[in-house]
Amino acid sequence: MTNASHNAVFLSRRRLLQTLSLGAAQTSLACRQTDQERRFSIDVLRNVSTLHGSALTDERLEAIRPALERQASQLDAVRRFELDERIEPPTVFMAKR
Amino acid sequence: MADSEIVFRSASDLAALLKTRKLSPVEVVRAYLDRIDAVDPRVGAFITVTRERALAQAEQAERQIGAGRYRGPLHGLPYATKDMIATKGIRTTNGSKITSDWIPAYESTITARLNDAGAILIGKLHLVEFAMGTHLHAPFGLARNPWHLDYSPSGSSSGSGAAVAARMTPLAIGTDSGGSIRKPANSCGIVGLKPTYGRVSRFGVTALSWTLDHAGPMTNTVADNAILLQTIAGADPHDATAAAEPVPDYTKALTGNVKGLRIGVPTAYFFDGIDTETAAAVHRALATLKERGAVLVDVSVRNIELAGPAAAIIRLSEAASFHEKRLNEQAETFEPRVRQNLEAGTFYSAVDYIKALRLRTVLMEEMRRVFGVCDVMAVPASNPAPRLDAEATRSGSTSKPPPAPDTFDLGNMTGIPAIVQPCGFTTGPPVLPVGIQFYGKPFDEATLFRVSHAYESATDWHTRRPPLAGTAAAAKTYVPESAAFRRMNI
Repeated sequence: MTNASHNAVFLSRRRLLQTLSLGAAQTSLACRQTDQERRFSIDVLRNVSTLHGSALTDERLEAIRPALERQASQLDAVRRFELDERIEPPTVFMAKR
Repeated sequence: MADSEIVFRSASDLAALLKTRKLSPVEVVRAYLDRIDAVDPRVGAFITVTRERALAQAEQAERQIGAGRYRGPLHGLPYATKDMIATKGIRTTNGSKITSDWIPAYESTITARLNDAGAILIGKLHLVEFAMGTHLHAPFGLARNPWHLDYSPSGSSSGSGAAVAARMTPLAIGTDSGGSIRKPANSCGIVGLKPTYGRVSRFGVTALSWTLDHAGPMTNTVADNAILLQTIAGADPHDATAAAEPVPDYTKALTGNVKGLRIGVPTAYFFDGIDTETAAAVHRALATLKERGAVLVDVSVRNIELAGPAAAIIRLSEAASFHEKRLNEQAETFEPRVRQNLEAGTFYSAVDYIKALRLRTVLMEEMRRVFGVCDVMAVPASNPAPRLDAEATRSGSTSKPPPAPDTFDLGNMTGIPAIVQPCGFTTGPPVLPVGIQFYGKPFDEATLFRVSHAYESATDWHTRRPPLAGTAAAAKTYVPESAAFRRMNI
């Protein structure tokens, strides 16, 4: 059993909801930060990493922080673009005539 | 016929000589193997050379053709593939230490079809790690641009571009998840086609990003590209995304006639950041086609600036998913930049990924609108090749916008076909090729061949020979880490 799945066994429903809320808020916060300073704190990245299940070490988070900061503007461009709610993803991607 | 005469002929010319037995497959294969021996120590395009196997197959092809069992235009011709396409019994490294000893127990559909057509595999070609690494840290060394050895062939199908341009193989297969066929075609001055998504089976092609990945032909001429696509295209029970759309006879498109063909020319974005020499060459190419009867039409592609950012989200998310087990168990084995990008890919949310997918729908609809007023759309491919040492300071292909506009991701996002071919050279020094890119309607590769062939017939760019010039100063930065990662002859 991996550490991640071991921990999951003991994660209460309340704790799970708290973690999800924290992660969502911090992801959102991280995005807003990019608009201003394009910097992510290690604390924010650690929490998001934990929530996503990758649990990267602080050393790895430091290593990937530049990549995340570089990607922030691309991510923002996509997030800011408003889509009509009728637009669906191509469910099985097949180019058609 | 002298070796040098053979390797500078087109595959189509060689096929005619093989068919009429004026040339033997053994002569052809030996000529290319000799060329590899002479040139590849400087270019670095091959990871594996399948010498003995190729010679044995050439002798077999000679016997078959001699006995009247000619299989078609690829029979007896050498080919090579990017080393992320599985070849049964022949190591397939993916350009990575992690899979450096992988010997597939199965054959990719592409190589199976080429082998069935009588084509002869002469080797496996260089790529950056898993098609997402950097040239200077590639475990199998540097691939160089035959037009100037201090310059990059671009990637990720770096070996395919360099080997074709240096005439070490007449036919190569590359893959393209964000321009990886078309970028090296541009930098190396050859013809590279990214077919429609589903036109060519991906079975046996190591994934970078399942929904953006395409495999396609890389050659010196448009006719060679057409005969190569003809062989590898079509439905495949092993790949659910391989389309059942009929495969037309592409050689019928090679008429040289573009009279009345409507070529869309974007009025915004695609020329922004393109250097003046390249832009001028593209406009001259369009003028040439107009003189031959094509009609130029102004077009605009709305929301094109989102193609690159959305593609990056999809590419990194899917790549992080594909490599999840490797990231968990042996992350340190990846090249640092690849590891960094893959780990960063785990930070995208499902909402980001789905938003990026929905943008594909937007761009597909947009291109349907554009193709309502034109038959093909012409844009600059990109700027000329960068110096190899300049790449050391750049990010990986997926994490930083390039200085030139992203003219490539549109094709991967929408699945529409695109072809790149040379349309001139910089004045230099160094003298480097520049390219034009044509986009077409889904499954209409024939029209791309039609326009590209017409342009090629009116010019002589494809006949120029790369000088293998340069001091190769950047070679000092590369030391193979061990004998295991040096080129293998088998």
